[in-house]
Amino acid sequence: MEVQNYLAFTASELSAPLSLLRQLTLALDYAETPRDESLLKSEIVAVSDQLMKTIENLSEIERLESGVFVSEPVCVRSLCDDVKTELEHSDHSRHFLVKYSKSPLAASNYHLLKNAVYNFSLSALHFSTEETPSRIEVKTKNNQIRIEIRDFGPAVPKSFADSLKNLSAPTSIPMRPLSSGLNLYLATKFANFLGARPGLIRHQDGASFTLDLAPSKQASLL
Amino acid sequence: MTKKPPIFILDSDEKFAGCLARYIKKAGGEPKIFKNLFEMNAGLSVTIPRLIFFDPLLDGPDAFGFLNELMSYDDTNKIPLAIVSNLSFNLADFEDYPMRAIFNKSRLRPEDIIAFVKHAGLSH
Repeated sequence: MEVQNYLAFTASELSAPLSLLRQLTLALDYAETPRDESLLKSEIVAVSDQLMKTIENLSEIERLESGVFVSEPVCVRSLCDDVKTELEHSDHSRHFLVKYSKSPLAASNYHLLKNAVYNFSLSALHFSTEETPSRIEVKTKNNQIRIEIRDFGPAVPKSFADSLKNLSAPTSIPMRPLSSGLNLYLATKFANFLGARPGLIRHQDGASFTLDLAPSKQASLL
Repeated sequence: MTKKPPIFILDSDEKFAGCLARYIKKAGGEPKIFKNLFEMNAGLSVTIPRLIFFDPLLDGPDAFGFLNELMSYDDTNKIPLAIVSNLSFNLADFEDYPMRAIFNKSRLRPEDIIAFVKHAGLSH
């Protein structure tokens, strides 16, 4: 994608939450009760927090190419719990489940891996309901650790699923206009930089975004 | 006294839809929010609204096919419609539909919705 198109897409993706922020602020004068006003204020903070994090991540990926990262044993369970806490703090009306049968250590980088999981989870958060809560699941199989972020939103076209691993630029997500293609792009950039092999499993009732990690060799000494 | 029919809001962005709902209440209307076409169709099977605000870009199928379906039924083809979207549309493109207004989300003010609901004769 040309730089100009990249910039135009990014500007478009960032303008939607700004438009929402503006409207939530205007709506404060029309809050029906003090509780409603409090709800609006918490929504303003939540949207602002997510927008700021996206902008920080954008700055960070520009520095990725030129830098190296420290590889360390990362407790995947704790990381997923931290992402869940951060997301639910930013949107009290939505909930995530975190499922794990084990608590493996991965050879990775906590900060960068958390950015990847967070950005994948952000779109899943939008589709999370009481009846069908989105979830982060940690699995181990064949000496690999898989983090799976499952949502119950609209099914994703196969062509998009096939292109996910090699996203070279932010792109809109078919059938999911409110899911940010920018956040998805950020997630795959962080994941690919870590060698965490991003993927997408299509379901009839949603999608699972996956990250495959190598276990930390240190774990085998425990 | 007959209860007034509700005003439907079709938008996958629940926060934005919540803002619209507040303005509609201020104008004396009764809003009902739907996140997608499946929920909207279920709502239409219960009651016919007196106005539908909608963002064409929805989670799942978009609303353009839904527009044609509305037009195909005698009891829904006259429901006044209004687009509320981040995308730009021209009213002239919808002359075959009962489209009354197009609002851009990035410039929308509460007074725009309140005035539209009141002065379009929809509050009584």
